[in-house]
Amino acid sequence: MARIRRNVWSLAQPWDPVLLWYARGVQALKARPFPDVTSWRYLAAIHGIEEQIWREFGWLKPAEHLPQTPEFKNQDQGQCQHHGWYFVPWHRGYLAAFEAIVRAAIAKLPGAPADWALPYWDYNSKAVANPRALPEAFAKNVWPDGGDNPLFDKRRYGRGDGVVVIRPQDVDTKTALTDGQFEGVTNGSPGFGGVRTPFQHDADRDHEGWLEQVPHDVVHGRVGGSQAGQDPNDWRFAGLMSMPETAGLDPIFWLHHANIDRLWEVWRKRDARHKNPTLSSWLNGPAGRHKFILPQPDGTRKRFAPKDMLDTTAPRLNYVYEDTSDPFAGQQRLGLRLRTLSVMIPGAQGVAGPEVSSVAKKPIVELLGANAKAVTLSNAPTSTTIKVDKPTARKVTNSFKLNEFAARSVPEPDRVFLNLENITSDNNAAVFDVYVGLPEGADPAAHPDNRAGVVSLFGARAATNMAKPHGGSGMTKVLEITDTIDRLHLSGNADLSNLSVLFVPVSSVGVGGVSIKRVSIYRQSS
Amino acid sequence: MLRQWLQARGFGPLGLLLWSVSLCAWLLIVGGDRLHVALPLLCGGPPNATIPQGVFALEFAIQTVGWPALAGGSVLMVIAMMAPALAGPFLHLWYRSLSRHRWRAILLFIAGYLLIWTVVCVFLILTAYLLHGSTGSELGAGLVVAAAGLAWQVSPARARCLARCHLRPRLSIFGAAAFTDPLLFGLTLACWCVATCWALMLLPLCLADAHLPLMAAGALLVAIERTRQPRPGRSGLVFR
Ligand SMILES: [Cu+2]
Repeated sequence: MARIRRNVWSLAQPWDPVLLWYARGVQALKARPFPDVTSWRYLAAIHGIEEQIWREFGWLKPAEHLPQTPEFKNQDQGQCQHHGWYFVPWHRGYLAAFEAIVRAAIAKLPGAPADWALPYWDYNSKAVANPRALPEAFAKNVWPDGGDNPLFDKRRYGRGDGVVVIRPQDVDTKTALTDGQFEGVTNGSPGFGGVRTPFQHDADRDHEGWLEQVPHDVVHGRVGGSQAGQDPNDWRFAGLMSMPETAGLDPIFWLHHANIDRLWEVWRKRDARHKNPTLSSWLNGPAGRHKFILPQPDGTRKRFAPKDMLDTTAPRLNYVYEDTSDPFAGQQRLGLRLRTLSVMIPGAQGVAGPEVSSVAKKPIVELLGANAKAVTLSNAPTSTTIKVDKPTARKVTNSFKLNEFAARSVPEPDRVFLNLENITSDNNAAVFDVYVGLPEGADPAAHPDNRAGVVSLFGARAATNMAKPHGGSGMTKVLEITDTIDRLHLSGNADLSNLSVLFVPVSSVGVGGVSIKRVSIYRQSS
Repeated sequence: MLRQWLQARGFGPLGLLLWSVSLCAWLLIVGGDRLHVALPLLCGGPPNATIPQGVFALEFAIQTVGWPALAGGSVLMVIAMMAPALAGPFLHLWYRSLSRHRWRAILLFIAGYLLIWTVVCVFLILTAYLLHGSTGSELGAGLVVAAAGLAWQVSPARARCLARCHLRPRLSIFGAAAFTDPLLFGLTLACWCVATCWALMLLPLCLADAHLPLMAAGALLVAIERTRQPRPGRSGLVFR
């Protein structure tokens, strides 16, 4: 029988046995010496580590050193796969290894359950009034066994004062779950699971899928945050969850990622046409010299590839989620869009084929317009204007003509994507909303339809560091603005010559803390 | 089948194209380009050669084989060694330019990139000449460069230069900046590239007899290093 990973909100609050045993397991792992591959710190370092930060935060005592084994130096540390199509399979393997190690640690204690499984934090749960609040077992430094609560960490700043505040739009899973494609394309739709990142990985970090952007990145930034009243660009005041180099040290990390992993199951199950990649470069990935390898409870290591992560009930994983029901009742992005467009293009729905396009052909993605110079964000809203290239804009407009897209038998008119290119920042916890096409001086809060999405800069600091392998190129974020462009077309005001973009900080950005080299838009034609 | 196998190993259409370009340059070099005819001429610096003597020798070589041949030879050498390493910058230029300006941007980039390298090659040839003169033999010059190169190869400063080779600048699409941005990208990238790889270029120039095998070894090193996924925590060492 597969073990069941339960929703933290369907457990008794605050100390359901599942959480209590988790706390005891965490306590046991934290007590192990760092070089032990099953220790709390070793497992967190597999996700990411930076010695200076760990020392400052007290996770490395002055007399301690990083593990000296060649395995740690060359293969184990800093393995986490972000910004690419290995994000979900790698984290699934990572969680499973962690869960097995915690279960084995608990098993040594008297009265332990044999079927303990990691709970997940469903921030969209209907079971409680505010599922986006931190569960009490994590939020307070008290627990039934007495002494310090192993699930509590004071480096969890949330909005700044230690209270985690997450807005519904920060954890909106609609974009991710209603996109039928796992694999995305550069500059266009990144897909549910991200863009193919081959051996010859381009230096930019611009390949993250919808799920990784929201809710994954945003929850990291909203939970970790940075200390109120301090410079958010100084990592010394950042929360553990805000940085990939420390995130695995926070016990809530694992419940957050269990939910991300569950959303992969929800996506796959909600529509029979939702398919994982079938290319061998994904299944047997990653390409290149480095392989995924993780510790086992007995201290050995085991390799895995994405193909081992497809079925959670396989003996190696052996778990199911309490709830993988579809929150969007079968809705698909394409279907929703065509319903809107049917006002303008009568019969559009009839013309369109299946709601999940099964076109094997790679879509055309091309630059449509860009702003004039780099933008620096501050704590006040900042705007920039995209100037659109006329000949390319005509292609977009033409794609809306019924005879055009019927004749070419494509499923839909062009999609349009906003690209925030090469964002550099030392502030990993920066989160901001992005609005497109707002009239000048308009209150963004009054125009929710113009909201393109929310961006979290989880991982930006490392991507900004000139000494790191990426040479300080920063990261690139892609947001879909097809809806806004559709509405412009519907209103008959499809003059796309200029498009305003407004950045509204959600958390403290800090002075000159975030720079975006180019703000551009791309068209994607299927 | 073959296509899948290649793609799984990171050889997309662009990678294959660049490797072919590099191979063509190699064939032209092996087929005997004039720079390599002139190399022995250049390498024979007298003991304690001075810069003016070096310039004179260079002028003599130019008279013998001609400017175009010498510059062409340098360009060929750069293309042979560096083309496969340029996939990242080319993709950046391709994706971040208006589709009708993609080739223009790439050509401007190449112009800037080759300009820097050609100028640098002249300096490297001069250096090889002077080193030969002061050490008295090709082997001596080679050993000096090998020692200095090895020290540089493992230094953190070089790792930083290599990291800069992954920089991807903003590319404007309107006005004069649409022309100058790709050009500047080529110029700056070449500078970081030179800083990273000068030793690999200088060594074959010093040892005229072993020129081709050394160049081939250098090219292999560049290819391995640039196409490998950068990993955090890695020092300047190529093989680890
Ligand atoms: Cu994460």
